[in-house]
Amino acid sequence: MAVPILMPSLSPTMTEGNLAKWCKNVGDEIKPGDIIAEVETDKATMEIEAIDEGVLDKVLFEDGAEGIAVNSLIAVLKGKDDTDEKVKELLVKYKGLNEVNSKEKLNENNEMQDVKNKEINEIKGLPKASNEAVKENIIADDKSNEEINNYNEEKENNIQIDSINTNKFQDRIIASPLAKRLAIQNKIDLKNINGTGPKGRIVKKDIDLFLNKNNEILNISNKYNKNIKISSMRKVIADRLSFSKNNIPHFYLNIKCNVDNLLMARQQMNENVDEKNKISINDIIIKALALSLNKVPEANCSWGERDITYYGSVDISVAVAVKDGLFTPVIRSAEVIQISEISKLMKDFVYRAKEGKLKPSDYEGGNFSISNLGMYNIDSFSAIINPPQSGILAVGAIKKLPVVIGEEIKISNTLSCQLSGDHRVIDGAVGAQLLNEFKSIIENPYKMLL
Amino acid sequence: MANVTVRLAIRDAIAEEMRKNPDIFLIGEEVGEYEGAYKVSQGLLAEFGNKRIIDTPITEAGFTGLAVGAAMGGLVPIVEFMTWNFAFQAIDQIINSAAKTLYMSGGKVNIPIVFRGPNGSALQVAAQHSHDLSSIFSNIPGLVVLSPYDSADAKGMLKAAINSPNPVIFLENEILYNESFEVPDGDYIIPIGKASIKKSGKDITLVSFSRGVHTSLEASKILSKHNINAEVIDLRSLRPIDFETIINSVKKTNNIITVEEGWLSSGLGAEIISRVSSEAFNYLDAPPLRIGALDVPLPYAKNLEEQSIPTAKRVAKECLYHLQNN
Repeated sequence: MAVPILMPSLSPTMTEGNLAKWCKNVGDEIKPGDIIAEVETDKATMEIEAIDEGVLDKVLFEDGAEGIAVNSLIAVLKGKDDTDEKVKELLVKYKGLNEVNSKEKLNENNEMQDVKNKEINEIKGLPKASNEAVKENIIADDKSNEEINNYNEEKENNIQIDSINTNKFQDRIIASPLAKRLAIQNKIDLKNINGTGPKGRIVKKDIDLFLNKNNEILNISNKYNKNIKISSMRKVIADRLSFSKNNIPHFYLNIKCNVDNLLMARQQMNENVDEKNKISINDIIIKALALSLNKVPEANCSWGERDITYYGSVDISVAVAVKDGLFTPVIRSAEVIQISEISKLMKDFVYRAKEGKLKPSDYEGGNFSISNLGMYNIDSFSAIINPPQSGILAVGAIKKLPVVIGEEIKISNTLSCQLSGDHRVIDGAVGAQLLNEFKSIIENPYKMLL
Repeated sequence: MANVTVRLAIRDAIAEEMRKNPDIFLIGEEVGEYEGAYKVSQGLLAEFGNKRIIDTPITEAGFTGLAVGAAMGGLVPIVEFMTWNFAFQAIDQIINSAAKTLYMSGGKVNIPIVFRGPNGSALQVAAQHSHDLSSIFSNIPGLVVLSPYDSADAKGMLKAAINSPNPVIFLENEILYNESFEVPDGDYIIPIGKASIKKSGKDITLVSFSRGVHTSLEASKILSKHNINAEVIDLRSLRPIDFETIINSVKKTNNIITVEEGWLSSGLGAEIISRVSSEAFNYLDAPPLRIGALDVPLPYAKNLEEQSIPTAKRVAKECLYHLQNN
């Protein structure tokens, strides 16, 4: 038999709901437990789950339809043996019911009119008489009495109350006398104000709030907030990093490296090399980290729900900033390829990242990350692990700092690095071992030859 | 400043005025030899003698009529009713003889008389001894109706009543007799028709009188725990009512709730709210509310009596519900 799907009552205070969207199309097979639609209540968005089996035969509201009364028919599920007749019967039955619902609303309005008539009678000093008696008492040339007359006629004719007439009462704004006066004084349209008093009444507090808000806007002189749709890249960054910070127990280790030798080595490496093929400090850091991870394979791993994966090669993800986000292209097997090769790959990645031409294969995978903010003059920072990797090395700027060597204070070029480790797979000692290995390579670049 | 019970404050007011004016006399049941059913007239017979402190038979209509006649003749009687419930016996003398004579004599005959005694509920004295007559007398033109809360007001207001050229209904409260409050030194008068702000507040105005002031002050303490800072107004004078003070308060708080121990129908709260709605409509942020006795003769049973008269807890609860839901 045909099954009616009704606007559910999802909370005790819910009287009507909005149809956020249909999750099934007309003609779709529905199984019990399928999500048919999403319904928005005053509090939340909830899913309507199918209880019966059938085909979604009729949908009575569009996506985004608002103010659908609880228990109104919103769709019909047609069973295997159902004829179109059955569906029609159901529609007739529920349409009738919906009309009853709206009639109840009309009646409420009529009652309000009765009250209004009564009020008018009382204001005019007339007894609570029947409409007829009121009419008899009316002096024809009195304009306001004519209004009463019209009111009563309207009331008599209200069998054909049209939508305009009913709206007149639905649109009525409930505000306290004080709020109305304040609104007039401050030239505020009550339509712009949300009533927070009992029964949604606009009260003084609401006016004050509105005025303060407006003053604040005026004070910052035409600076408006704007909303921009979240890009898919930002969404991925947000999701992955939120996941990481929420789920990975980060720990942080700091180390300072003397890079006097490294700078000299780099200078020598770049002698007689043309500008675009020059090796950067970052290229050397990638290599140094890859070699360190190769030396401390316990750190080159990933936490899985059932087991820990130890990687056979060292694939380093390198964060590359682009407009409105960042990419992490991967230098694969960085422990074996030459620095010049790393340098070439990086230059290509950076170029293509900025052009938006990186392929997924360029940035998928990776065992460990490097984020270098040295070019932004950051001393040191704590980076967030890029899951499922076990760590990320945050690299700061090279700065000339006083360093104690023996009994002397010497000025030397210093690089601050901070390791963020996933404590589920790396412990402090392993992280320290890795960082010390890294420091030893950075401070003695010839070790990269070993 | 001295700490004095309301009972003594009333006695002092009578004694001080009687010393000043030999035309003043006190008349009623048990006011002399017994020194008052509630010991209000302690020491008065000894000081002023039985020509001015007059014990009467149990005949309210009789001695009230006698007193009204004396007032017409130029004396200043103070009539004590053992309780205001018994004044129903004398209601014709109070309303028809005392209240209306100035008007009916074309302004020629003043009735400078004070009718006083305990009014409203006490503890478990049942319906016929618990009637609150405030709204009945407040309805009558020609009468002044006063109802003090604390000792200072009781003394100053009773002096104003004794010195008034018009009949004054002076409604005391049996439970308050024993309460002590500070009383200013020296001779002073609280003018008729002036309310008093007992506690200043900004969120809601509670208007009450007599013991209701105590209830309202206690309720305001409960409300303050809910971050509602209530202003409590003691009407003091029920006829005329100091609407100026009430309306100024409503202009500040934008909310009003009246608290009375009498019934709500055609009561003082109804009168006050009616005037506020007319004169301060545009300052109201919520519908006004009345709190009063349940619409039954006051029960004798202790538990039922407690349910019938507004308590601080009930006032606070009704205020909170009203503010949140109506």
